[in-house]
Order: sequence, then C-alpha cells, then structure tokens
Amino acid sequence: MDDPIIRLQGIAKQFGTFVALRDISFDIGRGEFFSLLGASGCGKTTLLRILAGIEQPSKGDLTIDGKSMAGVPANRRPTNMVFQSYAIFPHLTVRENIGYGLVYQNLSKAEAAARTEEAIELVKLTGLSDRSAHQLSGGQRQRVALARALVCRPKVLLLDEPLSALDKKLREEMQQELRSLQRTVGITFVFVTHDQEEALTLSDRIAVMSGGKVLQIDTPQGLYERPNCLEVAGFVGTMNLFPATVSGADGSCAVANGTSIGELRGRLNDRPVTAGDAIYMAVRPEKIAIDAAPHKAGPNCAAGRIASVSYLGDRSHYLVDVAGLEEPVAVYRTNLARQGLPETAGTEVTLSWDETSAMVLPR
Amino acid sequence: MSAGSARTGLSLLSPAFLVMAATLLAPVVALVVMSFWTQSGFEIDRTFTLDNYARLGEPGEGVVWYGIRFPFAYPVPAVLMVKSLAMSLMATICVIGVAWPMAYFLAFRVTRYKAMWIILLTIPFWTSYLLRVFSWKIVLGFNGAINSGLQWLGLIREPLEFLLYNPIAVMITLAHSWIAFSVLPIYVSLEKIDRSLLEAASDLGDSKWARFRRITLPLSMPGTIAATLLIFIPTVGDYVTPTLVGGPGGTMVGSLVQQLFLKQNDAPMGAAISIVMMLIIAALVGLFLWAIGYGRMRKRIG
Amino acid sequence: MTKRFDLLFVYAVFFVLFLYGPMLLMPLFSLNDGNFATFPLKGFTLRHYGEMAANTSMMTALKNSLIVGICVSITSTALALPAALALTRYRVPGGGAILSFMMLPLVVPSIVLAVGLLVVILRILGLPLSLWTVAAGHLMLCIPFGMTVLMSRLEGFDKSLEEASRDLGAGGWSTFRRVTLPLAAPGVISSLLLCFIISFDEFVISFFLTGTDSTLPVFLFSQLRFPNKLPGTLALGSLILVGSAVLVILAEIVRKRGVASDNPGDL
Repeated sequence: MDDPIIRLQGIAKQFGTFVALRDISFDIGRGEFFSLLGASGCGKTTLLRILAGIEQPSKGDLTIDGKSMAGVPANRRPTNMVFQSYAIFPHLTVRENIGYGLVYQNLSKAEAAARTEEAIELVKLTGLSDRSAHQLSGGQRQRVALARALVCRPKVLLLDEPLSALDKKLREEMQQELRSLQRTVGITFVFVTHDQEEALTLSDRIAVMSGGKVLQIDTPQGLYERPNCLEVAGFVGTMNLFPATVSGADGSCAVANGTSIGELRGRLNDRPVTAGDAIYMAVRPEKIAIDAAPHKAGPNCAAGRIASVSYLGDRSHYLVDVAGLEEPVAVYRTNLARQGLPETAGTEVTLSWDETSAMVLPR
Repeated sequence: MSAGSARTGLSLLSPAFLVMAATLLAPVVALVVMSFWTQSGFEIDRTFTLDNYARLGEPGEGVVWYGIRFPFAYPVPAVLMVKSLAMSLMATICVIGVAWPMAYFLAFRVTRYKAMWIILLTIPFWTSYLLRVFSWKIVLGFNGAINSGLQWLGLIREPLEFLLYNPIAVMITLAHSWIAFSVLPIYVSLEKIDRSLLEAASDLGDSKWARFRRITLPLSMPGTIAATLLIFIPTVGDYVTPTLVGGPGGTMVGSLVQQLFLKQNDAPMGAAISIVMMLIIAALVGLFLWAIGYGRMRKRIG
Repeated sequence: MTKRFDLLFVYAVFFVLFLYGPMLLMPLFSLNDGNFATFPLKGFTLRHYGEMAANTSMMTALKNSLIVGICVSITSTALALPAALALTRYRVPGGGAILSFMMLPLVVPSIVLAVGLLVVILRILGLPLSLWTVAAGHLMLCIPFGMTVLMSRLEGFDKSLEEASRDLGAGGWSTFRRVTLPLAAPGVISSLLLCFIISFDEFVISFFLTGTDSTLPVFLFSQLRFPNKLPGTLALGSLILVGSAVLVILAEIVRKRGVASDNPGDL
C-alpha cells in the first residue's frame, strides 16, 4: 500500500508466558474504516491498545503517519480512543469531558471553547453539556466518548467495542451514525468488535484475528465469498462443509469425488490443488436451493430429508439430513413465494447449488 | 505494562515500604535477636544463647491450674499463655456468635437507612479502646453502675464483688470491644451473595432453613473466618483489658511481657515470650485454616 | 412483615444497646453532680468540665495527642497514597508479598510491636523516648489502614479513566492531578480522618514509647487509678467519645459520596 496511515511490521506481544500477539504485519490506509474482528481473547483489543500506546509491543515496529511510534507514549500519539467502558470522567461535566484533551493542544481559550461546542453539536449532545456522567444514558455516554476523542482531531480514531454495551436497536442506529460520522470527519477509524455482522456492515476492510494472529484481511464481501480458511469461513456467517477428495481441476473449478453424494464442483479461489488432496467443498446456506422435485443426476446435487424448519418471518432456516453426512446441511430460503415449499420435518427434498457458489477449503 | 512502569511502581511504593521496614521489620528482627541474649543484673549479655527458650521449657515442680498440670520450673509464661488463648478463644466464639445474627440482619433485613446502621456499628470500633474498656470498669466496678444501681433499687445490700477483676469480666470486655469490628467482615460476605442463588435454591426445593444451611452459611465463611482471626489474634496479646478489669486473676500473657520489659527488667525473656507467643498464634491460625480447608474455600468462593 | 423480621430487629436493637450502653454511662456520669460514677444520679452539673479545663497536665496531654495525631495522619496518608497507587496501578514485582508484610500490624498484637519498637529505639538507636518515638510507632500502625482505605477507593474506579486521560494527551503527573486525585479525594480525606483517630486513641504503643511528654490516652490511664481524679477523666472521656464519633461520621459520609463503592461496608 502506498503511504498508509498505519504500518504494522512484525508486531508481537507477550504478557509473562502468555503470547497475546504473534508477528502481526499489515497496513491501514488513510480514511479507511478498518475493523479488527475476532472472538474474545484473540488479541484484537491488545493490538488496539498497542496502536494507542497504552501497551508497548514486545517486538516489531509500528509507524503512524510515517513516524515510528517506538517510545512514543500514549499522550504524544496522533491517535485517540473510544473505550469499551467509555471511561467518562465521573467528576467532570459533559463539556469538561469533551474539552479534556484540548488543554494540550496550544489553543486559545476561545478556540478551545468553540471546538468543544462544535464537537457537542457533531454528536448531537446540545443542551446536555452541563450534565455530569451519571446523568447520561448509555447512548449519550458513547457520544461523549466519541466527541471527546474527535475534538482532539486525531489522525486515527480507535474504537474498542464501543457498541457492545448498547441494546440491539440503539446499536443499529449508532452503527449508521458511526459510518456517516466517519465519512464527515474523513479520518481513519480502527474498530474492534466481536460481532461479525457489525464488522460487515461498517467496515471498508476487516482483519479476522484468532489466537493472536491475523487470519485474513479483506473487504466484507471478500471475507464472505472467499474465506481463506475454515476458521474465517466459520466465523463470518455459516458454512456447510462437505468432505471430499480432489479428483481433478477444470479451469478455475475443482472436481471432487469420493463423497457420499456424488460429484462436487466448486471454485478454487486461486488455491492450487492436486488430485488426491483432502478438501472441504464449502457452500453458504443461502446459496443452496431446496425443492421437492426428485433427485436429478449431475454434480452439486443431494437428496435429503428435512430434520427441522425454523420460520424467521422474512426467511426460513432448514436443517436437512443427507445420507452419509454427519452434520445436517443448513439451507436458508427467503420467503418470497411459498408455494411448493416443503414445510414439515421428514419431507424428502433435493438440494442443489451452482458450482460458482461452492468453494474449496483445505481440510 | 513495560519494565519502566515496574520501576515507577517500585519508586512509588518504596517510601511507605522503607518506613514500614524501619518501624515494623526492624523491631521484629530486633526482638528475635534480643531473645537470644540474656539479662544479667542491669547489663545485657550479648552472647548468643538459647537460655531464654530453654528456661521456658525447663521441667520442674510446676503448678496446677484449673486441673491442668504445668510441669515447668518457670511455669508462669506457660500458664498465662494457655489462659490467654483460652480466654480469647472464648471471647472470639462469643463475639462471632453474637455478631453473626446482627450481620445477617444488616445484609438481608435492612433496606432503608443501611448507611446509618453501618455507621452506627462503625463508631464504637473507632472510639478509644481504652475508654471502652474503662467504661466497663464503671459498669462492673465495686462502686460501679450495676452495684450502685442495684443498691439504690434496694435489690442488694452489699456491693457484688464478683463482677470485676476476674476472667469473666475480661471476656465480656474483650467481646464488647471487638464485636463491632466482627460484624463488618461477616456483613460484607453476606452482602456479596447473589440473591438469585437463594431464589435458585428455593426453586430447587430447599426450605428456608435448608437454604440457609446449604447456601448462605457456606458462602459467608470467608468473612466469618476473617472476622474470627481478626479478633482472636490481637486479643491473645491484649494488655489493656486484663490490666483494667482483670485484676490479679485476669492477667494475660501481654501483662507479663509488659512487666518483663518495664518492671522486672528482663527484656530478653520478654522478647523470647513475645516470639513464642507469635509463633504459637501463627501455628494455631495455620492449623485452623488447614483444618477447615481454607485454601480450597477461597478458590471456590473467591 | 413476618415474625422473623421482628425478632431479628429486636435482636439488632439489643445489640446496639449492648454496644453503646457502657460507653454512654461516661457522658451521663460526667454531667452528674457527684464525685463517683454511681447511681442514684444527684443532679446536673458542668463543674467536671471546668475541673478538666483547669487541669493543665491534662490539657498538655491533649495538645500532645493533637499534634502527634495531625502529623501522623498527614504523613501516613502522604506515604500510603503513592504506595496504594503503585499496588493498584503498576505491576510491582513481589507486590503481593510486600502488601501482606505492610498489613502485618493489623494482625500482630500491638504489645509485640510496642516492645519491638522499644528495643530498637533504646538498645539499637540509643534515642530517648519522646513524642517522636510515639509518632514513629503510630505511623507504622496507620500506614496499613490508610493503604486499605485508599486501595479500595482506587480499585473502585475504572482504570480506563486514567488510560483515557493519557490517550487524550495528558502526561503522568497531569493525569494524576486531573483524574486520579479528584477521584481518590474521598479516600484521601477518610484516610486522613481515620489515621488521626487511630493515632489519637492509640494506647499500648504510646504507653511503651512515651517519654516525659505523655499523650492523652497514657495520661488517662495514669489517672484511672485515682478515684478522686475520676470526674475530670469522665468529662474528658466523654468529649473524646463525641469527638471521635463526629470524625467517624464525617469520614463515612465523605467516603460514601461521589462514585458509589462496589464493596459496601468495608473499612
């Protein structure tokens, strides 16, 4: 990447004998909304705290805006953070909280006051500026935390699971607001979350982390459509896995046999395979068609029996038992037209999918 | 955190630590050293010797105290030690028994004015120990409140002499002095119990009593044990209470140490007795914690 | 309300009566026009308080205790605050062991501490006993209490507040001044008050370490043997009880204010 805002090279972090991060290297571009996604304990928050300067890496180099951050303490970095707990100073008012960092920016009193008011307006807290922290709701606290960080005009805004404490409806509202806020201020956001849906909705790019390592960095679409390993495939959305053995390749398409359901074909995604490789053919549940018609001959086709149906309003989720497979196959179907859909457990059905909808994952 | 922050932490900690080392560690070390010296007349003989300890264990004719035989040549320390342990043990048991229902009341029954109740129980702990003990002297004394009150009411003619200057008076006074202190740790451990645990126990079929026995009591143990130790340990060496209300029959080992240091001028023996007292207390506490499986309990209840 | 509630409530009332009863006799008899603490009461008088004020050696002892108490409370809080910060905010190697060591005065009988200090002061340092030696002993007793109060206060608020302050541009000292100290203030004030009370009321260590200038409890102890000094002693005792109670209530109120503590009732 040319001229990235953040460059991580070989970052590692150890707490005693516990390895929190190992050999992390990637770039984050200017103006990107970049998410670190992973289950708790995967190292994402540690990485964010290293960016902020609250933790020091045990190894590796961190460059922000072209300057090495080695030995630069948190208070001298061009980053600001929104804490998971929001960390609103309980002894200060909303206005004092938001103006907290401006003291260190060599501004005149009038300038500082004007910037504080501007920030209060930006996060829609006008009228609440003399309240103290315990008089605020969760959503309002979050806005104070955002304003307090943004008012310092950081080059990078770091957000540590800022939405996890909010209820679902408020969380969805705040997601929209965060996204539009990021477009308004135009600075880089680095966003930590364990919620894959949130990451997919908000981000330009996502780094999926596990066990202190980055598994894959890609756009939301890229992660969903072309996961590079089982873990990513399982973490972002649901994936049906059919164990198979490669029998050959046909252009960008792998052909696999030796399964209980006949021939399977799927995209290689530039992953070279040779005949005899043990793989999974992976298919997303919404890409599988389910119907009552009898089994056709040909690849990517399986006969099964419905094990359960969950009706979710806009769509239905099926679990279908297929002979020879240990796990039932998950199938999502939007409830557009309902005629001809088998609805009861025990119904014999046929599953089929396109070869471009399936992909090869290493076993 | 980096190595630098460990350095900052140490430099912040060191002033207080150095003061404590000078005023706590040095005295304890000095006491240990002194216990290996001997007193000869007005001089202290600084040759290392185990004489003081040997004298404490030296067999002899001994005395019989409450049917227990102490076969030592110098039996006073042993007698007083056993007596002190017995008296503080009794006082501790009384205190815990009396304080527990109060802590329970505070944790489970008081809903309004909780802070007021807590302050009410805290005040006596912080007001002069000496004055609290002294007030018992006023209550129990020969010319005290009980005697003069009963005489005034015509219930007795002569003052009751058995009230003051005996082990019972010492125990009552000790119990009174420490009782407020013991309510708080028990209360804290009761207050911490998640109320839904009690609901769950009821839901699973426990009666109120069974629930108390199976949930409340075990979960309160860390606080109850802390309270027990916080009372037992300091009372064994108490000096004020036996001196003021104990009389000749109520003296404890602390009084002996005081006499050896300030009156009989045998500081090395006093030091040896102090050390032995601390070792015995530590051993008893360790034995007690081991016997009830305190380590495992801490791990489970936290 | 159930019957069980009533029983426990009655118990609690008796408990409080038992707790306060003996102590309240002191102010009662101090206002009684008689020379002994006996019933029946003879009539109201303030003369014992007059006698107390006229007793110069008692007033000197009071002054000594106030001076020692104030110096000890300020010094021990000033030492305990950085130590509490170190143990709650920094990874200090061996911190747990150091803390246990510093908490020892809470569980070691004070007579042992007193004679130990006596040995160090007289035999090793060869210093004369004075108010300074009393203050040194009190310092040892107060630091653990100050640290307990301050550590529970510092643990009571989110560490990310200080991280947020650093992140917003404040350096170490600035963060301490703008965030840590204001949030710890109730703990600092209650530590000052409690350390003062401990020092002011302490008897055993003072008794061993006091020189020619005695502190008030030591003076009182010497008076308790003389029945004719009783009324003045009762008056002073009553004043001390009331004064201590006021300070405790103040300390508790200060501590409860601001951010509510997570651990109710701890010291």
